[in-house]
Amino acid sequence: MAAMKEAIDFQHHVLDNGLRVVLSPNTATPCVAVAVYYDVGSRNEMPGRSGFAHLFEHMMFQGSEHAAKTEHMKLISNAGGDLNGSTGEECTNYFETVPSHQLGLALWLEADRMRALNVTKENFENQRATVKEERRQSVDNQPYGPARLRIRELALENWAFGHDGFGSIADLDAATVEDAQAFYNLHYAPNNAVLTIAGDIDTDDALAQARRYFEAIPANKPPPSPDTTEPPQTAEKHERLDDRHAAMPGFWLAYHAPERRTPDTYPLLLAQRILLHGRSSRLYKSLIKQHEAAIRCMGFVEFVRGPGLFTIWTISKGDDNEQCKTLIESELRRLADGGVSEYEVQKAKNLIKAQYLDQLQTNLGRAMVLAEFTLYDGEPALANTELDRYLAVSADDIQRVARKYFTVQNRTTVEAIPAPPATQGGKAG
Amino acid sequence: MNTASFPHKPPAPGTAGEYRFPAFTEDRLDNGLRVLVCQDRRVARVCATLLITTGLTPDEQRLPGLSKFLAEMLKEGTSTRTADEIAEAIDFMGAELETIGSQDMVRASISVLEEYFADGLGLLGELVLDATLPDDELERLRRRELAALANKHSQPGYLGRKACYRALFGEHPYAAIDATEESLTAVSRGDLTEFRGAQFDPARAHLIIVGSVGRNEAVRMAESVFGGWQAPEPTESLTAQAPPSAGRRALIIDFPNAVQSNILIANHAVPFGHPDFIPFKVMNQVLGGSYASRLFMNLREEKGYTYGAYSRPDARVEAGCLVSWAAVGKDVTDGALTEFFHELNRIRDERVGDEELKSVQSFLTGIFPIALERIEQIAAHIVSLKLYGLPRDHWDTYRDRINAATPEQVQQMARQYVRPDEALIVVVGRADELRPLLEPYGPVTVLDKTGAPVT
Repeated sequence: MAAMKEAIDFQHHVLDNGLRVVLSPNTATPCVAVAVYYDVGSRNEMPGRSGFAHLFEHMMFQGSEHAAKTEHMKLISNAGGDLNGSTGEECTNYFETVPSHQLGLALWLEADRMRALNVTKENFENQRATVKEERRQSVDNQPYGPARLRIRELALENWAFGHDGFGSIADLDAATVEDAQAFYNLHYAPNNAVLTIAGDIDTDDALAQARRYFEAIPANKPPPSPDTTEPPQTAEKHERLDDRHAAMPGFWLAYHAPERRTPDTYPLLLAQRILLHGRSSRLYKSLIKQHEAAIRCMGFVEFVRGPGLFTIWTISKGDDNEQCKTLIESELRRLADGGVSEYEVQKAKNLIKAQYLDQLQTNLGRAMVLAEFTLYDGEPALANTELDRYLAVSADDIQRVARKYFTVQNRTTVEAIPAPPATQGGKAG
Repeated sequence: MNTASFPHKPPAPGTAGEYRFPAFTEDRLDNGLRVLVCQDRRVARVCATLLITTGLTPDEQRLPGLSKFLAEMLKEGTSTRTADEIAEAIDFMGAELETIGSQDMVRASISVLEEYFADGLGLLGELVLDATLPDDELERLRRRELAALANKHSQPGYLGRKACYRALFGEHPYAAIDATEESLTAVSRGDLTEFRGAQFDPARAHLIIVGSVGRNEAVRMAESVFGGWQAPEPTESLTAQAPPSAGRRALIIDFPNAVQSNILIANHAVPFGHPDFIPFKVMNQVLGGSYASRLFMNLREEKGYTYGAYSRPDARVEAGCLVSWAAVGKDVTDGALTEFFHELNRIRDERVGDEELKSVQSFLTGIFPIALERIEQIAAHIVSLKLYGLPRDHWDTYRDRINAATPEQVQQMARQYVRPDEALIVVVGRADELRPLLEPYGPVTVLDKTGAPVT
C-alpha cells in the first residue's frame, strides 16, 4: 500500500457466538492493549433516558459475577496496567493496557462483565451521583458548556443523534436500576461487540485465550437499529443562550455532514484541516491573527453511521459575535468560490498522514483503530488502506464539498452571551 | 466450555517480559551543547527537543510568565521568516511544534515524519537562535494573552490552582502559575532580549533526539544547526526559598454561579531530585495517584461526591508541593472536606498494609513501559534527567527503587509531607455558602476572581 511504510499486522476471527476478534502482534514493548467495543452509544438511548449509555458505562466498572465492586479497577491497577472506557454516539468502549504476561487477567475481566454483570441498586445510585457530578464538572460549571450541548440538539432533527450523551439531569434522575439491567440484556452481547488485542502477543495463544473466556457467552437477538434519518435542513437555525460563567461572548456553528465513509467525507476532512488546523489555517489567520476578532476558534467534523456535524467553536474578543460570524462566513465562501491551492491540499494530506501514524505508535492506538473499522465497517483491513482515500482527494473535490455543505440554509448557530450572576436559588444548575 | 464453567478466579499471570529503558548516547559539541540521541526504529518519526535550563531568575520573579511569553515569541518571526511563514512550514510538514517556558527552563520541541527531520531540526534551531521578536507580533501576542487571561478567569479549575500556588509559594517564583495582567501589560521587547541574552547558553542546553535517526547523523545535523551558538556573559541567578507553612487556613474564591465546589488541599513537599521523591511518590499512589487509590475509592466509589478525587505531587527543580483535589457537588462540600481530611490523617496514622503497598508498587512499575510507547514520552523522560539533574541511570533503577519502599518509609513520608494541620485549603464556589463550612478548619479569606480580597 502506498501511504504506510509498514502495514499493521492483524488477524480477524469471528467466534461461534458472533464476537469479532482482531489480533495485532507487535513486540516493541512487553505490553498489550485489550479493547472491547460494543455497538451501543447515545444514539441507542430512548427519549426520556438521555445519558443512559454513558451512565451504564459506569456500571460496567461496578462488579460482575466473579469480580466485586471496584475489583476490576484494582486488579488491573495491581497488575501494573491502566484502563478506561468511553461512550460516544455510536459505540461504548472499554480498554486495558497491561504488561503482556497479564493478558489473561484483562480478558477474564472483560469476559466476566460481558457475561454476568452485577447490577445493584446501591451501585446504580452511587454511579448516578458520580455521573451527575461529571456532567456538572464538564458542562454546567464551565463557560460555553451548555451551548456546546445545545448546538447538537438544535442542528439535528433526529433524536438519536441530536441529543447529547451526557444526558439531562432530569433524565439521569428518572433512570432506574431496572433500566440498567434491561439495557445490559439488550446491548451487551458478544454478537454486538468487537474484541481487539494489540501488542506483545502470540496470536495462537491470544486467540485460544479469547475463545476460553468469551466463546461460551451466548449470543443475543440483535438489538433494533436506531433511526438514522435526518431530513435535509431547509432554513438556517439560530439561538442565543445566557451563559452565567462566560466572560466574553462565544458561539457554536454547525453544518450537517455526510455519513461515515461516503465519498464526501474525505474531502470534507481535508477542508476541516485547511480551515481549522494550526496557525497557518485559514480561520486562525483571519479571526485570531489578522483581525484579532477571536481568542479561540476550533472546529471538528464527525463522520458517523447517521447524520454527523461539522462544528466550529469560537470565543469572540468583542462585545458580540458579529465580526467573528462574518469572518467565518467569508472564509467559508472563499473556500467554496475560490477553491484551494495544490499546496494547501498537500499540506492537509501531510497532516492527516502524520496524525494517523502518530496514533499508531501505541498498542492502544492500533487496537482502537482496528476495533472501529471492524465494528463500524466490518473491515479491519481499512486500517491499512483508508489513509489512501484521503491522499487521493483533489482540490476540486474540496471545493465541491465546500459548495455543497457550507451553505446558509445548512447552518445552525448557538450563541453564548455572558449574563450577570443569578441570584440565590436562580436558574444556574 | 459452557458458561457455568467460567473460571471463578482470574488466571495466574505468565512470565513477565523484559523491559529496559531505551539506551541513549550523549555527545558534547565544542560550544558545550550536549546532544542526546535515542534511536528508535519502530516508527518513521523523529522528536527533537531543545532544553535550556535557566534556574530561577530575578527576571521571572519580577515579570511572572516572562519565559513563557518568550517561548511563544520564538514562533513569531526570524531574520528569514515571518510568523506566518513559520506557521506554514510547521503545518506543511504535519509537524507538532511546542515552545514552553517555566520558572526553571525554556524548551522547544518538534515532532516530524522522518522525511522532514532535517527541515524540522533546522526550523527548531532557527527559532532558538534567530528569533527577531518583532514589535508588531509582540503587541499582538500581548493582546491575545490578555484576552485569554480574562477567559481563564471564568474557569473554576484555573482559579483554584492560581490561588493555591499564590498562597503556598508567596514571594517564590513558583507562586505564579501563569502570567498576570500586570506582567503582560509591562513586558517589553527589551525584557525578552535581555532574558534571552542571559539565559540562552549552549553550555546549559541539551538537545534530545528520539526516533528513527542514528547517533552519527543526529550529531552531525546538530552540529550544523547549533554549532555556531555562542555562550553569553554569565549573569546572576536567584536563590529563593518557599515560605514556611503559615498554619492551616482556607481561601474561598467566590464563583457566584457555581454548581460545584472545586476543592484543593495543599502542603509543601519535595523537589523532583530529592532523595525522598521515590518513596514519596509511592506514598502518593496509596493516597490519591489513580482511580485505584484511597481518595478516589472513598470520595467517588463509596460516597459518589465527585467524578474523581486525586492527589498529585508537583515536584519542580527547586521545590515541590502535594495537592489533593476534587470537584464535588456543592451540597456535599462539607462531607467531601471531612473525607479528604480523614484520608490525609489516615495515611499518617496507620501503617499501610503490605498488600496495598505491593499493589501500588506493581502499578507504578508495570505502567512504566506502557508510558514509554511514544517517542515523545521517551524524550520527556530523558529531558527530565537533565532538567532535574538526575543521575544517568535514574530510569534504569527507577522500578527497583519503587519496589524498595517499605511500609515504614511510606508512613514516614506521609508524616513528613502530608500535614493536614498545616494544610492550605482552597475552595472555588459560592462564598456565602462555603464560609460557614470552612470556618471550623481555620481562618478564612474570601477572594474574588482576580485574587483580590472581598470584605
